[in-house]
Amino acid sequence: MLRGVTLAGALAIAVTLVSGVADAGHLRRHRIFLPPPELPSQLAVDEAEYTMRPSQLVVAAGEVTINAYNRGMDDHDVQFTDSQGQVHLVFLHSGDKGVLKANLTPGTYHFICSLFAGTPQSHEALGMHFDLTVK
Amino acid sequence: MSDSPLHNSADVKALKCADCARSDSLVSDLKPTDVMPIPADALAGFPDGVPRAKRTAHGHSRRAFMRNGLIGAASIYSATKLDWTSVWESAIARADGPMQKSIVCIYLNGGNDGLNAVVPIDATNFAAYNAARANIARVLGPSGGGKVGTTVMGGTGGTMAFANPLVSGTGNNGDTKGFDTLYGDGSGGAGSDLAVFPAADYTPPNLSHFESRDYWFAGALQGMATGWLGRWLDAYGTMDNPLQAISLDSSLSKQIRSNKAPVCAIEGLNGAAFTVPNVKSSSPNSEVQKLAAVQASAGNVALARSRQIYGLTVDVSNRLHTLTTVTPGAGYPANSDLSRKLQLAATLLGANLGTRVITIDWGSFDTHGDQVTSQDPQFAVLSSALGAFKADLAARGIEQNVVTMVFSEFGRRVMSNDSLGTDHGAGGMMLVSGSAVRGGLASPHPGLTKLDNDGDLVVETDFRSVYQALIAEWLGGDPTQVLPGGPFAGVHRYDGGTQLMK
Repeated sequence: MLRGVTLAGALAIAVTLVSGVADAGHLRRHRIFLPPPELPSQLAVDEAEYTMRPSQLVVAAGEVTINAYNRGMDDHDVQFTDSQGQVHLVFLHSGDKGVLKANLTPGTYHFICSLFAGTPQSHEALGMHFDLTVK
Repeated sequence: MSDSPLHNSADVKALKCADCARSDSLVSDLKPTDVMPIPADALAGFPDGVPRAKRTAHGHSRRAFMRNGLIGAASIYSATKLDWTSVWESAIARADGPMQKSIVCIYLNGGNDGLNAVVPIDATNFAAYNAARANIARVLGPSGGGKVGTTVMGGTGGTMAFANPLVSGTGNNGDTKGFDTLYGDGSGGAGSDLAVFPAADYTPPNLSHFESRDYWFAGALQGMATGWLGRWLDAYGTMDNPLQAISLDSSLSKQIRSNKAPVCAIEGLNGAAFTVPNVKSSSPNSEVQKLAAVQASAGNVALARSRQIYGLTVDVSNRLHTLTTVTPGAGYPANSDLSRKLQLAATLLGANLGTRVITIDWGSFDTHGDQVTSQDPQFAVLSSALGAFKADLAARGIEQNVVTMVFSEFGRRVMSNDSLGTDHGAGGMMLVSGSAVRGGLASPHPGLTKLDNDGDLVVETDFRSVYQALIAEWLGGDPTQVLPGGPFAGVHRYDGGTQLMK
């Protein structure tokens, strides 16, 4: 609620400062600061051979929902370790969907497909990994 | 201009990912029921008659169709076995009548950021735009200082602008045609032929490429075995002509996957011309034509027939050449896969073989990083190519029968990342182009001061509303038979109009 009031107040100031038509010079004269949009609390992860494509590289701290989709022809998983050292993992057969939920603190989290780890067929080594920033 | 500007290994990796995803946009689990040769004389109307395809134990014999050479092959997807001769006879029969209304669907692969294509420039929204994405934001007016500029869109009360890579002219995309020339004054009258939906999507958004793309292709927010255009063909298409819907790709687009209507995929036409080993000539056709003109000696029926066929083949080849050659003045961007596909689309539509739908899958718009350097060159190609395609169709005399739709599986977040890109968001840009289209801002912009709960654009237009209008106002038929969950809210233009077409 407080965030909403702050946003509304800032917008009211912005509207007061500028007129209703675009004017580059006008905008230069008045520095207008608006709060940035909120960060999302969920992301999708698309998996196939051998890619992991996250929908977001940056999410908000707190409970984060990860919706994972395997559209590859092979099995895959989504795995990461949180700041407490807890491993989160969801295994996905070909065509499966899965959900992970975790309470994440600010930091960077390394996501991988852990299948065949430590072998030449390691899916992570073949490209199935990404880093998620939590702010 | 190349449409794959690769700057570093990260770009290469991103492209690889896009290619991987592209295969998922096609029906990879469905094998063609047949592969039908495309004879050289098909596009010229079979001047010597449609050859009889002979059935063999292994299918149809290609021999009859190879009489005057082949220019390609169509992968056929059909619930029933089709006879090649019947297919071509059906297609040619349609060529005798007037061309039917058709649609070309261009899918921008990866989730295009529409907010850097059409920018809200009223003072409040432009301030919010700058605050949210200063590191990739456009500037008002001409480009300069390392920033890309904007050009005001008519008919928007000065509230919206095209990013300059989409605008023709020196200092912009450098071409003579583009979004601005298609858009015109934005009034929807004559010469205003590009409708812009700045925030089209569905709610709640699914930010998976896989899932969201399936929704757009199916025209439904649920898993379906058929595409929206496939179902339209099932209801209103023919059961004997797979050329009625063509994916210009190696496999079928999910958009035209049907239950019973035959459809096809064509990757390309190779062209048809003689090549003569050990003979250097810029025009082997002319050399063969001279040979064909030599009289055979009296009574040598076989040689006379042979030379007659030489002459016929040269004639077909030359006629085909005029069909596949780029129309003078069209001005397609060079070295672009989109140009190649649009030229092929124009060729096939120009042959009037009963084609109602063509799908094109293009680009790499998943711009989590370095967005401006990867997206803007593609914008310039898209803009010029759309302008060139319209000019090409006009030169062939069929532009008034073709509408082009451009879409992507979602928009991107309002706020940019430190990596100079944007994550997946809601409310993407959708375009409908053609002289039959009521150009202009086809819905109000939702604005940047009131976002959804995830900080994304509020969806102003359900994409199914656009499909609905395309069926009702252009292709023909009852949209509720094609689109589950309908009817949907109608088009609501910025100027208050409710029609998509003129």
